[in-house]
Order: sequence, then structure tokens, then C-alpha cells
Amino acid sequence: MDFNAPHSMGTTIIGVTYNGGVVLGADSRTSTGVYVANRASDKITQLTDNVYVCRSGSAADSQVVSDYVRYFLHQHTIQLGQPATVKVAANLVRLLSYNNKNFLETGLIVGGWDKYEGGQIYGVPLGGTIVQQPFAIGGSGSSYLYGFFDQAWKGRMTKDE
Amino acid sequence: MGDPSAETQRTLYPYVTGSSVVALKYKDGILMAADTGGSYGSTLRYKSIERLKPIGKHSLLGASGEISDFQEILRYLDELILYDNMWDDGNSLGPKEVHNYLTRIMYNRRNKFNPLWNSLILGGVKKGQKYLGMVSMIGVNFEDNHVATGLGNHLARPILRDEWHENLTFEEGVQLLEKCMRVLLYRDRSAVNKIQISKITEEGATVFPPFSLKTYWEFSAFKNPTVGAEGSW
Repeated sequence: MDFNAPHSMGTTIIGVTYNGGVVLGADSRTSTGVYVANRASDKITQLTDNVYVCRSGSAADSQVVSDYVRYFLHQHTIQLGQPATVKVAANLVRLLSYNNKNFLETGLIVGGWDKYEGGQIYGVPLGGTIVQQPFAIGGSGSSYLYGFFDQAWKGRMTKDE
Repeated sequence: MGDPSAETQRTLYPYVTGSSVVALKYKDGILMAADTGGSYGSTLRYKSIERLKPIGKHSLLGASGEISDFQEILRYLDELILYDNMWDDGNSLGPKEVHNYLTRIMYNRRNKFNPLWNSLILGGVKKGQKYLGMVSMIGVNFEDNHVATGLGNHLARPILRDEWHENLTFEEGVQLLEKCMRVLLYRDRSAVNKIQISKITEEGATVFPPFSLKTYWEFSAFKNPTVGAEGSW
């Protein structure tokens, strides 16, 4: 048992827009090689009152990126005098991911609501590309969901749907 | 030796990539086409990525390769055009100048072993002069009447060499581009059937909404799959 194997999350994360905003979802397993290091992890992390991020890939990398973005967004909010927009939050995530692409191994889904554009979901995969999507899936578990979402997704759903 | 922060950064491989871009000069300006797919290795992960963007008043940029690097290039160009506009001197950067700027960026990054992993096509019209050029990730650049990136060089350019001529009309140009994109759709594993065409003329740039190409699959072997099946491939 290699306890020194990197804590990778073996994750499924999902972010979906609907007619009132966004819904984010994630599983709770963090694995170190074959061992489940944490079976109750919280992979949905708050950045501001109105923006959250789903984390996948390296646990450490995604946590440190979230911490930095939360720190910058906090200052930005104070300076701006109003809640930060989802686009700004997502672009901060992108900035860190892109500029440190050689060191980081984390895919993130940023989701939130602001008064200008309403509910938005932004995917920031490995490499630091930013892509706004009506729904996003990520993590190693998402491979199984591509087919499902292609078939089942439709826009403007209710929260229950 | 083992300290990663002391080592110079270098990009080793791309993550999210766009496939070929094809472009040609026609009577009124430049026509450019690309599909809207973003591949993550062999998975076609993103199906709605726009890879053709207008730059300033006179140019169009199309990119294949790493999408995050393309997005960064768009930021550099944004700044370039902004500063150009701030001079407010009635002058504006034409396609030749933008192409040169891009070439310098790509070559200098290559020299630092940290390339922007893209092949770029820059086309435009200024004062009636049409311009179409390409820059690769190592800074190789050239100008021609028709250009393509990636597999497009092998699949699309032979078609263009045969069928391109001066003074193509818009309809002829679009038809020719569709022919090239269809071949790429058939033969490029990372192609997706959602194509965007954009044009730039003296009047300005237009990026048309995505559409799908009609494809042919009416092979007799599929109609009667059991006939001659034994021993066949």
C-alpha cells in the first residue's frame, strides 16, 4: 500500500444551469492509490457568497487554487463594493491554472449566480482553457456521463428536473 | 538539480486541442473555416468552441492546437489592438502587422523552449489588399493564397491547389471550403460535424453561425452487409 501516492480524487463533478440559477454536484471519495483516504470529502468549495467551485484531480492542487482564488476574490469584492461576477471568479481560476500549467493537475468547474448574467457554469480543465457551458462534467468518473448527458440534457429545466 | 522552481518552465504537451483550420483568398477578401470541437486527448470533450475570431477592424484569426494558449493569444492581441486604438491617429493595424506580431511571439516562445502550442492562420483585407498568412508553434511563417493547419495541410491543400483560382465568388469559396472540411470530417479522427465559416472583407468581419455538413454513407456493402461478408474486411 503506497501511502505516499499522491492524493488523487477519482472524482465525478457536475455543474448544471437551470431556469433559476445553477446546481452543482460531486461525489465524496478521495483516494490514495487503491486506498480511500477520505470517504466524506467535500469537493464543492465556496469562493464567495454567490460562486462555488467543484474540484477534481489532485486534492492538494485544487485546494490551493481555491484558496488563492477565494483570497483574491475577497479583496476584489471589497474594492468593487458589490459581489464579484461568476465570470471574474472563473477567470481568476483560469489565470492560476494556465500560468502554472506545468505544475498543476486539477480540473475545475466554476458555478454561480450574479445579477448581470444570472446562473453560469464555466469549465476550467487541465491546461487552463476556460469554456462557458450550459452544463459541465469533470473528473475521471465523468467519462461514463458523456453519453448520458448528450441524450438527457435539455436547456431551461426546473430545479427538480 | 531537483528544485522544480529553478528549472525554466516548458510546455510539454497540449491538453485541450482544436483540429484543422482552412482558409483561402477570394474576390472580396478572405474565407476561413474550422470546426467547433475541442478534443481532450482522444475524447471529443467540447463541442462548441469558437476557433475563428475577428481581430481589430481588418483581420481574422483562426487557431488549431491548445485552446488555452489560443485564449492567451487573444488576450495579447486584445491589448495590442487597444493600444493601437488609443493612439487615435486614424491608423489601424492591418493583417500584415498582426501576422508579424504573432510570428515574433511564437518564435520567441519557441526560443525559450516554452512554445504556445498553436498553429495560427491570420487573414485580412486592408485598403483593398488581401493578406493570408500562417504561423506555426515554432515560429515558421509564410503567406499564400490558401493555407491550412495540421491535417488540413495534407488533406485540404491538394484540393485547393487544384481548384483555387483568383476571383472566386463568395459562394464558390464557401463551396470549396465545405469540400475541404468534408474531407477533413471523413479522414481526421478529431474532427466534429459542426463547422463555422467566417469571412473578412473591406467592410468588416463576419463569423457565421455553426452548421453541419451532409455526409455520404450509402455504400453497397452497408446495404447488404451479409453479402460477401465471409473473408471480407
